[in-house]
Amino acid sequence: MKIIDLSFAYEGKEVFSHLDLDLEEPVICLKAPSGRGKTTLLKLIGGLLELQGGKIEGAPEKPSFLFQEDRLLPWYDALHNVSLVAEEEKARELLEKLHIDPAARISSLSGGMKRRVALARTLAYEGDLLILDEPFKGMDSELITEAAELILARKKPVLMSSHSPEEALRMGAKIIEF
Amino acid sequence: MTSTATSKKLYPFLAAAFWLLLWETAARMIGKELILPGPFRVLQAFLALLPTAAYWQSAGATMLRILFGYLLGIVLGILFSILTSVSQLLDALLSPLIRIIRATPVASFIILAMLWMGKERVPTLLSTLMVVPVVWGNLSEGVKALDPDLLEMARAFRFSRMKTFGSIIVPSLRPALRSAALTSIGLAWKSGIAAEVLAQPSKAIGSQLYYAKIYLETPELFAWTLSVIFFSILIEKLVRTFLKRQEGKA
Repeated sequence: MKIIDLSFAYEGKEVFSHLDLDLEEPVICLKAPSGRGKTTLLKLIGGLLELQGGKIEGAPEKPSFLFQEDRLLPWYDALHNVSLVAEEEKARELLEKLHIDPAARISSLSGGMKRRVALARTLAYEGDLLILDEPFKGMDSELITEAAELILARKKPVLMSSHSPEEALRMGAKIIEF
Repeated sequence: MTSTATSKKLYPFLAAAFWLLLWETAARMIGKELILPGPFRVLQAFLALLPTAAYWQSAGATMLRILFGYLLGIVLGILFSILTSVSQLLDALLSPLIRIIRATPVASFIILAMLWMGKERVPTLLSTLMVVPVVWGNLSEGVKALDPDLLEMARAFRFSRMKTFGSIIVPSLRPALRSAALTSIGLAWKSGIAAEVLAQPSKAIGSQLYYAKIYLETPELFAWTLSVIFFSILIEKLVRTFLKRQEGKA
């Protein structure tokens, strides 16, 4: 995937201009200081924001998103949240691999557990690119290892963002700064 | 500690005793049943009404009329809020209506409705008119407060319209609808009774209130008013229980 001469402004405020990036590796971690527009770039690539200038070559057809916020539906349990995007059997399996009780109410889960439900939903969805915005937020080191293995086991291209070089390392990701 | 707790439990009874005593004293001082009958005289009138068929027919007919108007109001309120949320043109067209209905005095509506339709239907219409703006207003506010993050999530995972509606919009709006349903039952009840007093349908609590007034039967007037309060509490409990059961299912 290639980002060519990409510019984007949000409510009149420039987020980035004339950005060029080569995103050729299968697993990539975007690294940039806060406010540089990582999330915006991920949404542009995933087609959630409309392009204003420049182009993206080889953009995914059907990306599978993990947003920076968990964006779970608090009125459903963990299993129902994941089954909204995949078959129930698959949803259950992923949740169990991430040590989440499928019947757990979202409001009863800790921050790190909610993150894992959101991750399960993203992995359950059959997309052609995993776009993961700060995927390991709130997880401890042991869980990060497990989660990273689970993500890599999907054998899909990954585009993630993270502040931590260690997280990128666990994913075996090529770090691209912008 | 326990003694204060026990005496606190007695407060409502003490309060009731105080007001009843005050009422009785005032009634004795005035000494005219026509102006203010005492609590015992009212209770007597109430107990005399209770075993009559006319009482239960009036109460039943009033309950049905108002409940029907209330439910119709909720359905129409939901419908209007959907219409004004999906189309800006419809919003511009219909939204001034809500403000007009809110600002118009109940009495004006009653008199107008009496010109337009049979007296049996006036109370139902009035209850509906009171409920629609509350439901509509609450739901419209709820729609404006829908979480854009969740809607974007639905877009990212390619939810169908029906799926977004069922899994995000409806659950998000449930609290707004619930509070509208609770607020508006009292309004529907009171305006429905007011409409009955003026329109006088054949069997109605409101008509009975009116007759009690013109025949100067003040104790009956009080007894009917007492019934209005009882049924109002009953109907509110009914709605509350129903909503709670719905909540449990969700």
